[in-house]
Amino acid sequence: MKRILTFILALTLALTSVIGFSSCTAEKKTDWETIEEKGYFVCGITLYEPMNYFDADGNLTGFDTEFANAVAAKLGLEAKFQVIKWPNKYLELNSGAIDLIWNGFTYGMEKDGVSRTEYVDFTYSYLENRQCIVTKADALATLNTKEAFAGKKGVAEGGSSGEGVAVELSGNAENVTLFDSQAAALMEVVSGNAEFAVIDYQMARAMVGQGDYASLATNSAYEPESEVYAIGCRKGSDLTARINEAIAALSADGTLAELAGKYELSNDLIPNIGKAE
Amino acid sequence: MNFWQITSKLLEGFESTCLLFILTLVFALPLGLVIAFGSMSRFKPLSWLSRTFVWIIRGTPLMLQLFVVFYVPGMLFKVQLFTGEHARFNAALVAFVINYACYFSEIYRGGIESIPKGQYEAAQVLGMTAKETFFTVVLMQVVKRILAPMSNEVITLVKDTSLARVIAVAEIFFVNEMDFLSRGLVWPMFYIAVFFLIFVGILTLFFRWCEKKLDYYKV
Amino acid sequence: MAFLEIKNLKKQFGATKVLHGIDFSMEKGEVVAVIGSSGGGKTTFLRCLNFLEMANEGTIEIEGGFHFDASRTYSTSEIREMRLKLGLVFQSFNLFPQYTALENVYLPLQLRTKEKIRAQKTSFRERRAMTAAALEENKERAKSLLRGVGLEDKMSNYPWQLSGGQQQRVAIARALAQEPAVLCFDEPTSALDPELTGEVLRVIKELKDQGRTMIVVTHEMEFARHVADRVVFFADGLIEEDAAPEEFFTNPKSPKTAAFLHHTISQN
Repeated sequence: MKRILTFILALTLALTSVIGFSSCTAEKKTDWETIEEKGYFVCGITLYEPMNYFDADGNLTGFDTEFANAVAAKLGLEAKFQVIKWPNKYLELNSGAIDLIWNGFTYGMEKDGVSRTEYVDFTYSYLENRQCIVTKADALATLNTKEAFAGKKGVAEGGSSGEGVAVELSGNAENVTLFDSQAAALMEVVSGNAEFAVIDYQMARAMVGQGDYASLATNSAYEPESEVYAIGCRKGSDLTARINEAIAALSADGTLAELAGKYELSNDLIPNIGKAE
Repeated sequence: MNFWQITSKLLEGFESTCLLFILTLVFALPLGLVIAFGSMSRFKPLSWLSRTFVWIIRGTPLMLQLFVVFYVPGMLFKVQLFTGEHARFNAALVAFVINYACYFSEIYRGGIESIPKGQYEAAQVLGMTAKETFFTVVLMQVVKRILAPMSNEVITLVKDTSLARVIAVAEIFFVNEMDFLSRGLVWPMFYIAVFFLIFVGILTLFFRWCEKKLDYYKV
Repeated sequence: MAFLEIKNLKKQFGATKVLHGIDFSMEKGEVVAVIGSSGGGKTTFLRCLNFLEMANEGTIEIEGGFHFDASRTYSTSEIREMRLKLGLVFQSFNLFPQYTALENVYLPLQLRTKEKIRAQKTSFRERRAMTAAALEENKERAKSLLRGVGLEDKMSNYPWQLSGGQQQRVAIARALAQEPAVLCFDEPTSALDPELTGEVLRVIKELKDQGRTMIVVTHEMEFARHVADRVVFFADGLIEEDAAPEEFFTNPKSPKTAAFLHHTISQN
């Protein structure tokens, strides 16, 4: 029995020292050095058009997909994509499971009013977006002012910027139910469990009125201020500056404009990124 | 997307589901026995350690354990324990194996402790060693006694695999959420039930067959 | 020295003293009936003899077998060796439910044969051949033992398919297979319906006729009187009386024995 105990103790000791050593060596390397060494960065995404989605042949495509590939190429890297649960995005980022949040990620606030800059370092913003209200098409006539939404049941994706808007509209956080994807939020409106959803304009444009969402319509009774998309990097990462350089270059040489044209986003693309200021 | 495309996509996810199920059993069944022996050890620190471990694992949600296994090493120690293409699957597997081994260990322990003392004493006076006693006398009696609770636990495991989606393992529900639900296709979610019903149906038949096979003796 | 000699055997569980110093001896071929009220220590005595409990003090010696001294420590394998010199038949049979009557008898034998063969430094193939040969031999022996207890037609039955009396007879055959120097019975008929005790007692009597050395803890006064060579009465952890059956039942020396006999016989 003593031998077993000694063995267990030795094993514990060995394990802790291995973890200890590797954490020492890991801390010496910067984010960029680690990524350069492995030769790729991992973008955390959810699937939605037009940013990241599978085309008819089953290939991952979309504006953000191609954008990330272009940035990676500029940096001599490869871009990998990992589908994540959106509410887990900071956990994924900080644990190193992904390197970037790159999926129509809005530069702005979390629902509790904390700026997302508290959690991530943003790159240059590259695309305009705004939150968009979606209701049943046959409710457009009644829900036609901002005030009409007071006390109504709303849904949004948890941790999205739409959540704040939904609470503002219904006037009470208790009226707002949160889901872990924008699509799930839309289903609530389709099924009649909620009267309105607040989701990204870019997503609404691609989905509302199609397929199972045929009964829905974008509701322009209230149009929140516009927002911008940017890429989220780990706090203090030296990757941010490298990506900014690459974005500026892609903006300058017209690659981004071409991409935006392909996905019908030309009106929303921010011009001359990295030049002003 | 037509029906066959969706079926083949779901089947891809279901492959991960099945793999997670089978590998969890392969590792958790023997590990559970080790933990059970730990819990029953007369060496107090070992049994205390095992029982505390079982308490912690059974006392916390599996979902939390999935998070801890996959995210915490990276957050606290800056170490990626799981890397490469199958990182998430492997992390989920580790969490499932630990979790189910603990549940199995309690079933084993109950089964082993329910064997009458007389069986051990008879084996002793017949000159059997502890090892011989366990493998030739006790084991088959334990197997018979634990078959029903085990089949319950195993069927629960089939459905628990869907929890792996919280760390984005591409099992069938995750595939459905990302590929279909996010496009507003709802029916595949209910279609998934068919996969599970067939799987559990096969398992039920298997366990019934096992019970029949063990019908020749009574404990 | 007698065939089996026990000196000053003491056993206590925690603070409770169960055996206060038992001196006991018997000759080869003798049958001793042990009686006494429950709590008197007779079962503990038997368990100490089979090393299911370890005595705290005293010695146990079997001629040509072993010498056990409670003041020494023994390894598990040493205890196992000593234990095999003694057989024990339990009150509740304790047959292995997943094996047939025949398997119950030959499996323990087979395990020990395998162990012996494994210890020999021969090739794997030779050992396998030896194991196969031993299996046949052990099976034959088991069959003849089962025939001996009158279970020729029940060999391939599982314990649940046998009556209590039949199960106990299998258990006796199983104990005999080990060829113990002394065979002990711990209340072998107490768990049986009255109409089934006869067949078990008959087997024990047959064993006596074959010259087996046996210690039988029992409540069957008739059996003690007519089959045993000696009757030993346990009370409060001591041997209170040790006499030939006739003398024991007609003229007990100790008042405790007399009281016990009066009590049990008036009850019957």
